[in-house]
Amino acid sequence: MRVGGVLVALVLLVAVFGPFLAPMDPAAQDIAAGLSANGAPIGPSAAHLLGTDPLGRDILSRLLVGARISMLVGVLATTIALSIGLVVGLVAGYFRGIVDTIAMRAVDVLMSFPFLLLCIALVAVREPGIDNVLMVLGLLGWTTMARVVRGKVLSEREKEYVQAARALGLGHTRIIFRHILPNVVGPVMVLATLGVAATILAESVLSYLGLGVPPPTPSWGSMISEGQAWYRLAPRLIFVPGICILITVLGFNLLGEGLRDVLDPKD
Amino acid sequence: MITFVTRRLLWAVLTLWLVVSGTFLLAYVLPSSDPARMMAGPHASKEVVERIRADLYLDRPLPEQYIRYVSHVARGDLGRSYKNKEPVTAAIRRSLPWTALIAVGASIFQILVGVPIGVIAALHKRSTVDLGAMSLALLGISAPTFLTGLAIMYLFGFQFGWFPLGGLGDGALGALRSAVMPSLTLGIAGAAYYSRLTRGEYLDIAQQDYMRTARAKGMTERRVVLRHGLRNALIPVLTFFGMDLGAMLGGAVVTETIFAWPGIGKLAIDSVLQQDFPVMLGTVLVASIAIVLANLLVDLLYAWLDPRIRLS
Repeated sequence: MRVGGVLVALVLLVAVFGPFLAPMDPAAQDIAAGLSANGAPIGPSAAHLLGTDPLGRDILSRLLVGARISMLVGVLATTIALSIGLVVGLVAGYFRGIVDTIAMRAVDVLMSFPFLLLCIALVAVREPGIDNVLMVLGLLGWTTMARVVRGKVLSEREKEYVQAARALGLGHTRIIFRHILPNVVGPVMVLATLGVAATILAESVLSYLGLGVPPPTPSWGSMISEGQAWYRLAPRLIFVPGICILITVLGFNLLGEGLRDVLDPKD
Repeated sequence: MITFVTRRLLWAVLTLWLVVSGTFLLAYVLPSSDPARMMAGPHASKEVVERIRADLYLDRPLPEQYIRYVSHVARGDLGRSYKNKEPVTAAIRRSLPWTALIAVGASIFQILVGVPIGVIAALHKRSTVDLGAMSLALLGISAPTFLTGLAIMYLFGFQFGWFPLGGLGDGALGALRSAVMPSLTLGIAGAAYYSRLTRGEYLDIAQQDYMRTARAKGMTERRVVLRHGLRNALIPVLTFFGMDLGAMLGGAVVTETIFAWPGIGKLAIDSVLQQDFPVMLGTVLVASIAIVLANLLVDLLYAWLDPRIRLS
């Protein structure tokens, strides 16, 4: 968990300050430097620490700026998904009956679609771009959260403190949000952290397929697809941004699992 | 059992109907630009666009379009490609076997690699072996498909030159040879997931009384692990096998793009990039139907294996 925390903190710092740290304009083309002798984009040098991409743009600067897109989409889309899943799960678990049946059936139906394929199709019919990527990932990603929260609420609602709150004549909204919610925060935090990892992965795939942020704004996924044609001569074009994605996702996964171990020491 | 099966079948039919309705929304309600205009192309005249709109019934009220759409889907008619006028079902039928081939390859890899790693890690709980295996598994889960795919391609295809870099080889043997890298790409994340799942399940099982009884009876450790431990640990793993289909189809989109593999994932992404909506919807629909059926199968199988499910 500590490793995960450090990795996440590092990527967060880069996402916040990256654009200021970037040595160059990520969209500026260093045409004067040209290509290497073998026709590949120029390799690492003092001017370009990680070399340039096929268009002569500084890779390090693009990585630093691209971190912000990944984190922004990861955190914001997860927040949307989290809010929907939390409310649906709380309401379904608390009221049970028909509300619960409808909510859980809706989750089943949504889970019957292949998630990534549906995201791709939705972004495609709505026009590629960061706002649509955000909406699609947020609006489709809440199902697991709803299921888990509902399960937890089902057991919480039978406990004495909920009965006591009801006996005191408190309203449903107050019982749900003031009394039950704090008791389901544990699994929610774990799922949210793991959710950021999954969302960043999904965003990178969408960007890789050309459906994410439009150029010239750099994102890690699109950097890989732009560099793919050069992978024989300059494998760093795909592996440097790829490893950035890997480290970020790994960080969130480690943090999420660490949280789970702390909050649920049974395992 | 009969009540359970009937209820489960009815729910599957209802889900299919909702899934079809979902794709209708995707095709007719959500698009931000006019489908008739997109089909006609940017330079078509207004008359042409209007004619296409009438041909596709896009000028009718939405409920009428919906009924038309559902009845066509029910008859197995998914429309024709905007690009080459080929029936969508023909394009899907052509690409589905190729996806099935690498999906089978990936599944074999997942089970043959993931499950043993999970058991070995569980047997050596908290050892270096366990830590190493689980770190590797976490890495496998965190890596985006395109990164593993490109790494495999760079290493085995380009550096070592063992396998063709992309596309289909000649003949059955060539096709199988070129299926190796895509299958591996598709299977790695799954294998990582399976090893974690198997480890967790096995650790639970290892604490069960019947494991102790088996040992107390003087059974060999090998027999205890394989006959009593693994067999029971595999039940939840197998159910996951069915649910995994959706994730695999998502992975197929990326894998098939990287290796220029002519499967349904490549068909889907090509249709998205060419704005060929009927083909895109067809792939989403077929993939969803596959998931609904796989889940149905798994539920029935599970009920058959575990009486507690069908009686509750």
